[in-house]
Amino acid sequence: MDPFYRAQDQDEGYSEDPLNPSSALMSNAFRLSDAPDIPAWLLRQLPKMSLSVKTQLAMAILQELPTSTIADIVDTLQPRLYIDFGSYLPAEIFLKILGYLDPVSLINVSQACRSYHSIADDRKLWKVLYHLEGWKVIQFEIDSWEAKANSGMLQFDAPDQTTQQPALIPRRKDEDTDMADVDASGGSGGVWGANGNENVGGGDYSGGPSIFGTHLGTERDDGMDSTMGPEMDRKGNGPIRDFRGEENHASTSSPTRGADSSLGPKASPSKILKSNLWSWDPAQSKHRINWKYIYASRRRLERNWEAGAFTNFQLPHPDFPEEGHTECIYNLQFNAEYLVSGSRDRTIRVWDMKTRRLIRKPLYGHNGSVLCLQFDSDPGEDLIVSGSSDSNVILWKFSTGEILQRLTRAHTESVLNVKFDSRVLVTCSKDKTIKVFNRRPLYHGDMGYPRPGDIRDGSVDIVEPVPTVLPPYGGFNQSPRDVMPVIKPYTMIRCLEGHGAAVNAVQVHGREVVSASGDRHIKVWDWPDRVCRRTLVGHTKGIACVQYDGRRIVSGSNDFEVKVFDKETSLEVASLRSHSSLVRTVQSGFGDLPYSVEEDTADAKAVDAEYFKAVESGAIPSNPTDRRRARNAGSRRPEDITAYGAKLPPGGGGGKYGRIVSGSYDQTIIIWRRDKEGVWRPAHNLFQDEAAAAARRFGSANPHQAADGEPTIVDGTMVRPFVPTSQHQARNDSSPSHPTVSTAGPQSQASFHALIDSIVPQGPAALQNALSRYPTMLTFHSYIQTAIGREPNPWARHRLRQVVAGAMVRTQMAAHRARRQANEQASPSLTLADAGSASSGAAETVTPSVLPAAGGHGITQHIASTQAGSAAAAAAAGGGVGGTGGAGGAGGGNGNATAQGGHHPHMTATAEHNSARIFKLQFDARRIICSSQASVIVGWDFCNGDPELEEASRFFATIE
Amino acid sequence: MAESKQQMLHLATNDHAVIQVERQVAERSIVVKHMLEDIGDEAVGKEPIPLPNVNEAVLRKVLEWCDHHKNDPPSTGDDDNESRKKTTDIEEWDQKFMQVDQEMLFEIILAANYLDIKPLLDVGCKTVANMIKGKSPEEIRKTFNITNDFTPEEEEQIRRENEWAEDR
Repeated sequence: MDPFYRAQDQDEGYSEDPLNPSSALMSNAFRLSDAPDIPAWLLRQLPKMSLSVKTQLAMAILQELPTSTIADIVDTLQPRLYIDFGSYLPAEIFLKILGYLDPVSLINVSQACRSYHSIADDRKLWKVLYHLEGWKVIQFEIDSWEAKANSGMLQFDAPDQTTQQPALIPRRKDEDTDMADVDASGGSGGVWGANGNENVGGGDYSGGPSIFGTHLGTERDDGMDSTMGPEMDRKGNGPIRDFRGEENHASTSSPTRGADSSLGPKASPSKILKSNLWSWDPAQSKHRINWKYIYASRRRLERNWEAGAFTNFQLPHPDFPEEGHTECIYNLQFNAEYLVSGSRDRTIRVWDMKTRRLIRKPLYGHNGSVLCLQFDSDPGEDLIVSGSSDSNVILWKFSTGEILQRLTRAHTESVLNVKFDSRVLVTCSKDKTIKVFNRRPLYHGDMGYPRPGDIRDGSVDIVEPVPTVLPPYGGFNQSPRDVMPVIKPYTMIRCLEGHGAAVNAVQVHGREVVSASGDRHIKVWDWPDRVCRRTLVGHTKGIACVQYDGRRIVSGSNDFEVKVFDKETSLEVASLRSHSSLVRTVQSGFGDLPYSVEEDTADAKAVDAEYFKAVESGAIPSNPTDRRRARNAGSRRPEDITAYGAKLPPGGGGGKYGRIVSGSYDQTIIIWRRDKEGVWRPAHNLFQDEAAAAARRFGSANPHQAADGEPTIVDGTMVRPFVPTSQHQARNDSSPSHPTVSTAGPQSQASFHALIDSIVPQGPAALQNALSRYPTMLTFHSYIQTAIGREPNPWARHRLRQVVAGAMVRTQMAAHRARRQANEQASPSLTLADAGSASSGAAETVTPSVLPAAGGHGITQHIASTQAGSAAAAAAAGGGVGGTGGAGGAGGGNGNATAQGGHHPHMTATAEHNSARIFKLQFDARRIICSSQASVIVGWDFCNGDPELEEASRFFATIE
Repeated sequence: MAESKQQMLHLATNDHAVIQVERQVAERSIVVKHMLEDIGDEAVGKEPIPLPNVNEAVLRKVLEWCDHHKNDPPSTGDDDNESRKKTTDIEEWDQKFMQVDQEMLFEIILAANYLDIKPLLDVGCKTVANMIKGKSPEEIRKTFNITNDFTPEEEEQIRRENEWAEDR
């Protein structure tokens, strides 16, 4: 005990009293005649001294002491100055403290010492941290794997801690059968010795018999015994008063099992073992998912997304090309196990995601291209719905491939999109209508039960019952539910009309249907009430795709832009411009944090407040004339604000792991991420053709072997697995007549990128020069556009883009001349159709049915269609149709009907290679998969060949 | 309610001090509040309420906090909501209040836990969390006077496992 401390206490209250006998003693001592009294006297004097005097005195005394004594004093003082909160506080309080920490601080805590390591690994802490990143898990997977793990159904490699093996990887069930018995009988002394956490079950473990006794402690030579010191006792809830006492060590020498389930594993007397996917929860005597491992794996996976580190793969498996579609693939959807694709070859194919093989023969049933599909492999649903250019919708049993039902002539023209949830199926068509079908029998009173007038085609005769009020006596009271007809499943119960052109995409979300149309509008419908609640204006050309998460609507358009709208206020909150052609497919995940809704609303208000402040201070004009419509194009600077009152901040809000992935007719996929200001920027451009080539090269090898050789570290940056030279040889070999690739010059993607990076800043003349020398540069069109986008001067950007456009036109003309004979049916029909249509809406109507018309010709066709579009737009403007009015005319759909026949260019191996418009993409937590004009499906896997990530990824939900 | 605000009562510490305090202040402690409810209004103020786990110095400090916060609205109860944004922001008065040596901070946290004064426990835990935040493992060891008991191999293994955290 500190003697000064005690003295202070005792003196308080009476030291000022002159009559106090101790004062008399003091005055005697003052004579200094009695040396042994001096210390006592001094002690009594201390409370009267000022802080500075006391400090001086202490320093003077310290100077008289030998260093060793000072060291002892410092040791004694340490606990007073620096208290080991982690060891002396009850565990639940220390966990509460750790709960306030960010992940990096928390792992620094875990690296401080063993006891901190064990408590900072607490699974609940990391579970919270995981969710606070805006990530989600597939709870079903976790539950079923935990169940399997605890029932001994999962078998693991024999643990060998000395080799530092990676996460345990489930083996085939026919292996390691000798281990199963131990697990079944043991309960806690588990099979999974490598995971280490089970050791904490009891204090006797370290010395006790273990099937891994030979492993445990083999490297334990540092004298650490089972006495871990005071930190082992976390059980007490009451205060520990004697936290300074050394004696604590003795009294708490044996590790105790915590009663608190959140406590998690404690430090084991044995080695700290490597973190694994599974951890032993002693409180529940169960194997549980290790949230810290899950968190760390997700971070690593996200880092791969940020670095653009991936491996490529394709379907069909390169060793079984005969399983693939024979023509371009309009649509696909995948989940963890299956991928379903629909093609122009009129088939639907169901693939195994792991083997990349067909799981059954192609599904035949449509008489036209399969344009759209959705499936649910859950046994409770077991359904594929497909829509075709034959105007039919077919329902298939997923598990067998048999046709459950045909909705013949569901529409009068091509069915462009189908979406179902548990209650309804929504379809949309080039016939400008949206139709809603019930998926379950509907009784009177159910949501969506048709009212008179809802169905006009006479398929169901709905007449509201005469309101007869029968008295409830007599035991016979028929409610309308009993009287009215039951509506059979897959009856068309609503038809939503209002779009002026083809409806290209729909989303269904509760009562809401969101539709995107060639008439440039997005509409939000209340389908049970059959009313259009909102019409979102913003795109200047037809809209090809739409996504809706309940708060934001994300759309891709033929104006080359992706836009984000605030559903609540219909305001445009972001505009993403980098594609150089129609944006055909988009998926967004804003990565909402658990508190994002409130925060985004507050943030939106703050942006508004900034804007008004700027207006008030005169920094920006209050009523600018050039603000044509309400939009915030993603910037939060007051001078960029043109609309206020949105519920979402510019950019759309959400968390830092939000992303938008868009696929375009410019043959690229862009992964958009937000910068610190919330502005969406292209983070990565993915090239379908490169991915296809890479997948082909590496695909037939064992994926893990391939991964070993692929990513290389150059200057600390992950380089994509890409072999540029062979890539370009492949291009040259496969398309010798293509003028853009038959030139000598830079031989790799990297060198082209470097060339572009260096040329673009040098100005339009340099760029023109380079383009004429190396026309192949044009195949990196998006990269060029990105480079141009970095130019600060808008005028320079404009000039540069003109140069690129000019070069493309020249290339196209040359290619067109060369190919005219071979491809006589290809583009002219599109141009004619557009020219012949009455309004600009026609030209901009984006329907899948126009898409194949330009198939197989890459840049050439891309330019042809772009020109056609702009020609039509010009014509429309000349005819007095406003450029922004969305004047989708009644005849809008007609111009595009031309592509229905068999005149699509057949896809060849050549086409697979060098140019493919992206038709459909989907991403999940670890990969992006796209279908395109090519007849192979290609994917990017951001696990990047890392088996640990591949194992953990099954639990990661997609960023939504 | 009005008269109960004025009501005074006595708290007895484990070092035999008896402290007089306003009932409203003392009732910031849920433990005390429940005790008062149990003994009934008539008995309040007659006998000192024993608090055998707190000494006088700490109780005076805790009561200082309770007095300053006596008019705070009762906590909403969703403080432990895991979906909340983590913040270790502490209001200014509390920050000053917590400028004590580690020993007193430790005692305050224990007392707040024992007396069930959740907002004070929160402030105390946040204060400790702020002492940890942004510190390296070595700095954390210094702050809490703990010894690095990892073997070099373990240290290397843990560092490797946590490599993901070094990217930003």
